Amino acid sequence: MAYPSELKYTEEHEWVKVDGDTVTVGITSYAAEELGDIVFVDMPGAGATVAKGDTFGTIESVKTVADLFAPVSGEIVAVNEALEDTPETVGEDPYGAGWIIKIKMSDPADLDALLSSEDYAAKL
Amino acid sequence: MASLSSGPVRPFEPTIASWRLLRSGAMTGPENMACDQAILEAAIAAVAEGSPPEVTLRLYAWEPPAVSLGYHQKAEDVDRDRLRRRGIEVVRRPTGGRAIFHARELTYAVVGPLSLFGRRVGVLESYRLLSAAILAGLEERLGVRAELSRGKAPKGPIDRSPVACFQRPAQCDAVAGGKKVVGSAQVRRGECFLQHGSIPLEPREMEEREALLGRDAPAIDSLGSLAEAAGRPIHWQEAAEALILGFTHTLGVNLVEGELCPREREVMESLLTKVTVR
Repeated sequence: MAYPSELKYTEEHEWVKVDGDTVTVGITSYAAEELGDIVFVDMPGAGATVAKGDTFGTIESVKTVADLFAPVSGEIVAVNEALEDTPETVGEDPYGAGWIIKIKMSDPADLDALLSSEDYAAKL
Repeated sequence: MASLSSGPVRPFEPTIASWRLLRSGAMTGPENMACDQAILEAAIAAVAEGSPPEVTLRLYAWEPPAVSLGYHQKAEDVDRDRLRRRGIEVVRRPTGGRAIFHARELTYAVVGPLSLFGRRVGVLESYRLLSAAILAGLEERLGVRAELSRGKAPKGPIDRSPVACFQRPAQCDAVAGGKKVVGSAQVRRGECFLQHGSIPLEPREMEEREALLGRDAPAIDSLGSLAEAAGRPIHWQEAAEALILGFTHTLGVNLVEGELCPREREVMESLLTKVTVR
């Protein structure tokens, strides 16, 4: 399975797309496949602050509930509200329409700890 | 690599070979859900503190019968007023999935660190690995041949309408004779997991339909039971022994009878009202 090389990754199977001081976060195609059919994504509202490594939400598939972790510290500036009605988008288009939140980073150095696509693939 | 020993081929070699066995017997709905969650929280705390991780197999029953809802399931999915009038409590599970009416069943819970599997495993794979032990036990002890459902939802919008867990077998639910006999769900938090599952001992379709969907709803066709699958009555104790046999034989683990530790009891007490859905 190939992972987009322009993204960064976490060991918790999330991807991070950097755009200036803001990052977009979603789950990888590996995680989506492993979770099975996704039926619910529980996210905080925009404006909440998160610390790197904290749980910011949960994702539920027909078989499990798993935590979502903040890959960086900062303020949540957007959440993908479309997932309320169509959570299955996370599984169908994990790197596109299935994005979950956008975070305005408080410390860009948090990015240093993230994995490249090769390093992420090597860990699976 | 194929096993050279004469024992059963193991689905995996658990990294922890001695597990705690809790035969909790019958408890109320809030007690059962608070108990499973307390064990999970203790496991998470142990891993975070760097203590040796423990694995627990808990076997239990529900008295009086109760309804459990999946973690994200809407409380309005069931008629709580009607259930309350009938003395049926509604509780929330820490795991996903749909509603279950728990009556005359064996429920199992396995709690432990994800490192138990010895490698990184996805949700569905961990279901398969743990279910292999359960299915082997059911067959060896009770003669019930069940298999894992392979059903995967078609592409496109997911049908989120089923209210009841047993309305439809999901991937990796155990099915015998086309009917679901083990309905399982899992939660992963931090480096730990909790998987629990409901195994109906005898037919309860009418009660389950009435409790979850209403008397006039269509029958829950895919709800099975061990008694139907075995063609004879199966008591809780016998089903419990089947699971114990499955885990010890198939995974080669040593189950040591134990009890909740004081910290788990304390957490359980504190969660009793939290897990109850009003």
